[in-house]
Amino acid sequence: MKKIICAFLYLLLGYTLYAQNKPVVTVPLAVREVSGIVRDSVAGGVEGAIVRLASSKDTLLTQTNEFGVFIFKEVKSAEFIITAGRIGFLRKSQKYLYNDTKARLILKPIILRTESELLKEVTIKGKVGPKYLTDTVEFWADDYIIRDYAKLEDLLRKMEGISVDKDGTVMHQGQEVKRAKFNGINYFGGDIKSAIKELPANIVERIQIIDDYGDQARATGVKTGESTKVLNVVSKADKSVGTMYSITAESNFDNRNYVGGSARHIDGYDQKGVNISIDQIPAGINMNAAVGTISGARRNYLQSSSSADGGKLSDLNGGLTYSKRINDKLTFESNYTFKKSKTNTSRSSLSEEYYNDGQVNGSRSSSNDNQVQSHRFNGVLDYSPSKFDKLKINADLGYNENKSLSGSQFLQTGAINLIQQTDNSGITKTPNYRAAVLYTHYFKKAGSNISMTVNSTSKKEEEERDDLNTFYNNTAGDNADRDYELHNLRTISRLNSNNSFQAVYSHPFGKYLKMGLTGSVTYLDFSNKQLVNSIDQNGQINKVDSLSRVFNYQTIETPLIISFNYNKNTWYEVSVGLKTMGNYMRGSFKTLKNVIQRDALNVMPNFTLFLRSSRKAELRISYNASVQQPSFEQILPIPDVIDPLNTRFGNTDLKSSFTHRPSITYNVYSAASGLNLQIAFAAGFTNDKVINSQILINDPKLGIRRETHFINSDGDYNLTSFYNIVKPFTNARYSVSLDGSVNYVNAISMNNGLQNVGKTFIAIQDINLNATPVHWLEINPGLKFRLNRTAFTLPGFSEINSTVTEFNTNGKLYFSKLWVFGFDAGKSLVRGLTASGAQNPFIVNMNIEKRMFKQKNGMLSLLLMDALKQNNLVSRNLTTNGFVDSRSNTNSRYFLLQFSWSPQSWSAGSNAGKARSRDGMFIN
Amino acid sequence: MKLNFFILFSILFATSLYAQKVPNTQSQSIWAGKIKIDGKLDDWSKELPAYNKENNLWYSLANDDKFLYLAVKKDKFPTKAYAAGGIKLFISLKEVKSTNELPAITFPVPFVNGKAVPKDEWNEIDLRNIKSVTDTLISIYNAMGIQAGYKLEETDKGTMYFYELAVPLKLLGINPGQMIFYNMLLRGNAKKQLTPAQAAMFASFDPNLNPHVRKEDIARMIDSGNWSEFWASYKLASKP
Repeated sequence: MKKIICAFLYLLLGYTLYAQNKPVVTVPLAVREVSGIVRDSVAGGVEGAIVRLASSKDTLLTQTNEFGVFIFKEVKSAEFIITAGRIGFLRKSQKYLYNDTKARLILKPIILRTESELLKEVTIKGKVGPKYLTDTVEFWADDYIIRDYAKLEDLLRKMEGISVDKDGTVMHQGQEVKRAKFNGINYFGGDIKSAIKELPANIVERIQIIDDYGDQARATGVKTGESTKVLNVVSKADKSVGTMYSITAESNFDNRNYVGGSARHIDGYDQKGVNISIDQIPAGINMNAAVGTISGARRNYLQSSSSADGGKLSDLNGGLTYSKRINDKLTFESNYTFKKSKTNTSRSSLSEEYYNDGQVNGSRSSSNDNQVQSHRFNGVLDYSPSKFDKLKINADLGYNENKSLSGSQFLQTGAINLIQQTDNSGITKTPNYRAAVLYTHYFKKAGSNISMTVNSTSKKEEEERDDLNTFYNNTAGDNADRDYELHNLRTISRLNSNNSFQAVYSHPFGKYLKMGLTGSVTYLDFSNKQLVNSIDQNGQINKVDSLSRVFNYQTIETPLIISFNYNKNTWYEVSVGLKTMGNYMRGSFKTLKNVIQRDALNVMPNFTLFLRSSRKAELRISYNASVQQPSFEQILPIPDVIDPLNTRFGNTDLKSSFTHRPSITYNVYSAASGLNLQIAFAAGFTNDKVINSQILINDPKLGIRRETHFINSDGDYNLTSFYNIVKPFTNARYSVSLDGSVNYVNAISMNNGLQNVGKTFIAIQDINLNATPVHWLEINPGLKFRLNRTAFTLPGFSEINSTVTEFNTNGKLYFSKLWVFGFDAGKSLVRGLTASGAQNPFIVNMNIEKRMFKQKNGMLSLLLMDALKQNNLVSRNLTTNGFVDSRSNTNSRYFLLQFSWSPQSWSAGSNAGKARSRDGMFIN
Repeated sequence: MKLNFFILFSILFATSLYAQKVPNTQSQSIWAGKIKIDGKLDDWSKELPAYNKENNLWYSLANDDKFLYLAVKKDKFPTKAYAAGGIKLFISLKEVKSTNELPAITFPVPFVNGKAVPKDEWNEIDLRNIKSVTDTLISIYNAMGIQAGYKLEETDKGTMYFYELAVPLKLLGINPGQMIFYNMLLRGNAKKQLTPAQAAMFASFDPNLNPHVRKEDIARMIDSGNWSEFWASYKLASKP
């Protein structure tokens, strides 16, 4: 019988498929026909009405025929104002914003009212606009104009409040979006970077950005902890099943080579995929804007830290995905990824640090060799034996291995005068696993449900190291006696395990009030074993007890949370909650038992209020409190003397720090003007924050050495604000976005017994314009401004004051549908970062590409990156009492020849005619 | 007075007869009064003169000296009328067996370039084989004078689809008083007509076999998955 139903569906589909296999052409047209009808209020056509079409490009005039019909041929703009009038009727004007890719624009009837009738308000045909639903923002793809062959990434960039970085990181309202779903189901294990780069934009119906509080919250409706942002792509119903192949190769015929390929098939839960790639690049070249379609579609870029100034990187990457819906009750997902990489980098840096006794200037140069291999397997099993029970098992198995070899020279002058030569080699092996079992049961009668999770994580790290430190003390009048050598062999093993059980019970009281009870027990076990042998100058191996440490500690956490949520589905929603947290830490050394016994019990309230009007505006006010326990290292009563120049002393009397976090966010979208505004304010006030207290001690043997102690301090706070305004003009052909944030951090530290307050003020302001002024040009100019000011209250700590102003313009020139020129040019003005080299780099990247083959899914591209060879900025990292400057590889100009072939096909598969839930999932 | 009663009686009688035995195709010529193409059939007779069983719809043709008019009311399986294939009307000036190369007017066009057009925005007409017309898709507001209107109405019995079309006689080369031949084709969602074997399979399909699907739904699916059509002729009415 199912077969016959399938046959029906097949027949149903036949026609639609037929109609849709034609390529959808979305190239802006030069002219279009505009037609419509003028009617009176009893729906009769008004003959002889004068109709005027006015746009920025032309003004046309015509008269309606006997049926009230008017036609304008060859209208130059898709955005215009129509005015219709006739004696005896009130004149009516209406603005129309149409897609410029349609050849025939057919207007809705224009109803003229007689002068005796009241003129009703003018309606503007516009967008649906973003919708703000609880924990979800929804965007309709039809609201945005996209080109032929555009990818999801291009569509996301046009959506209000969403930005996509050069490396494919998606941000929404300043927060990273971490996972991707497709029609409500994890997209290849949640792989967001692949999703935005390989999914075509024209299969998308809607985009949802969801605040996800985890499986348990989804099952029970009780939200605890922080949410993560998830992207859900709701495809068009008839484009929900896809097969995607891709092959990409690029080379500069020297040190930059890449070959990658992938094959994927997605149909709801049924997902199969395989991908592999080999990549090789020189190290330390700044990440640059992805210019051109092929660069934009590259999934994983081999990334090198911009602090490296030479060397090379290579890697081999691969993965397999196999997910399936076995029957209505059982689905599973499995993913396997592996990575093998080899890096060889050299780096150099200059640093300044400020102490009461003076300034320390440092210069460091180092070279590193690393060989890393990692394997990871993830499996998820979802079993719903009945409507009321749900079981989810999630397991991860991973293995990492890192072999490293490095050498460095560190020269310090000023308050410390020292040369430190370090040679290290090491191998670290890290096997780890994670397993989580979630079981949820719904009670049919009471409407309540209970959900239980068992979670077990374990990570083992085994490291073998060989460190050779040689110190040359070059203070005036020194002699060879003051030089010395430390040569240590270390065997380190760390085992970190985390086992927890959590139960959540949710119970409704009446229709609108819901109570959630969460209780859990977490047992953390950490054991550390470090055995150190030193080799003296004669080659003798001695066991060094002072550096060997064998200890373990356990922490038990017992949070208990009660929360209430009141939601009447009107204009407000309130949640209040109270959390009590017991924290018990025990630590032992090999020789010292129970050296740490620390118990704490804290109470933390939280509160959230949502106010919304008609899904277009939302105000959220929330407060939550959190407690941070000091780390084991911070309360350890035995000093850590592994680095003789930098010893650390724990403090057993440390209290837990308590943070208050109020926040306000406001989002509004105005359909009339298309304006979207988002504002967020947040603050964090921490009492009893564990801070570093540094003391410099003049050691007769080692020169000045540093001691770090830990104490509690009040007065640490930070304030953050963020806003985003997007306003489209003239049928979204132009859109202006303004983003800004202002952050202030008041950080407390102690220096030689004196309190030092670091006040950091960071202001960021971006303005961007997206424009398609003519159909063959797309241009996006932007201006970014970053201000960073840090001042300390103690004298001698010099103020850091830097500004970076960046102008950037990127765009595409369409010579034809198949030949496209892409460019990205940016000029940065950098102030306050002292170092040699071009500090106001002008970076110009460009490419020319041609589409090939019958389906136009092949492409050849020639790319020139950093044409003016200026993309080698000095980057500055701030430390608590100073900064470190490092510069990137200066060989930043290169050519690349790229080729890609990516055939795809999308259809409705067996989903035709099925009902869908809001997230796009098809209901069987 | 008697005469009036007689007329009234005969009308009543005729109407009740009518309801019981409606012709499958229209046989009479109708001179159109003032017909406004807006999807509302209030300017037609209360009951349309024919109920076509192949297409499961009421319909009527009428004319005046300028236009040929068509009215359709589909109350059974209305979705077939506005599925991908629309309602396609072929018109021939002589008796033929095939619709090949015949002028044809289709409305609505619910899919344009593979995109579904929302129900309240069907505003294009598909024209085929009409001399002097090169475009296959035209606006419902056009210079040729072809007009189309439709209405979807939710009633107690479910959705009803109403459709009105006016085609200038000149455009088709029809002369006053002439006999024309027409075919009304509903393609539903099917790209092709079913082969006789497929059709037989569906015809013999017992809806009771699948208890999870409502019988009406199965019948509707079978109907919308196949082409249905009928041929008939119409003699143009002369001005009374």
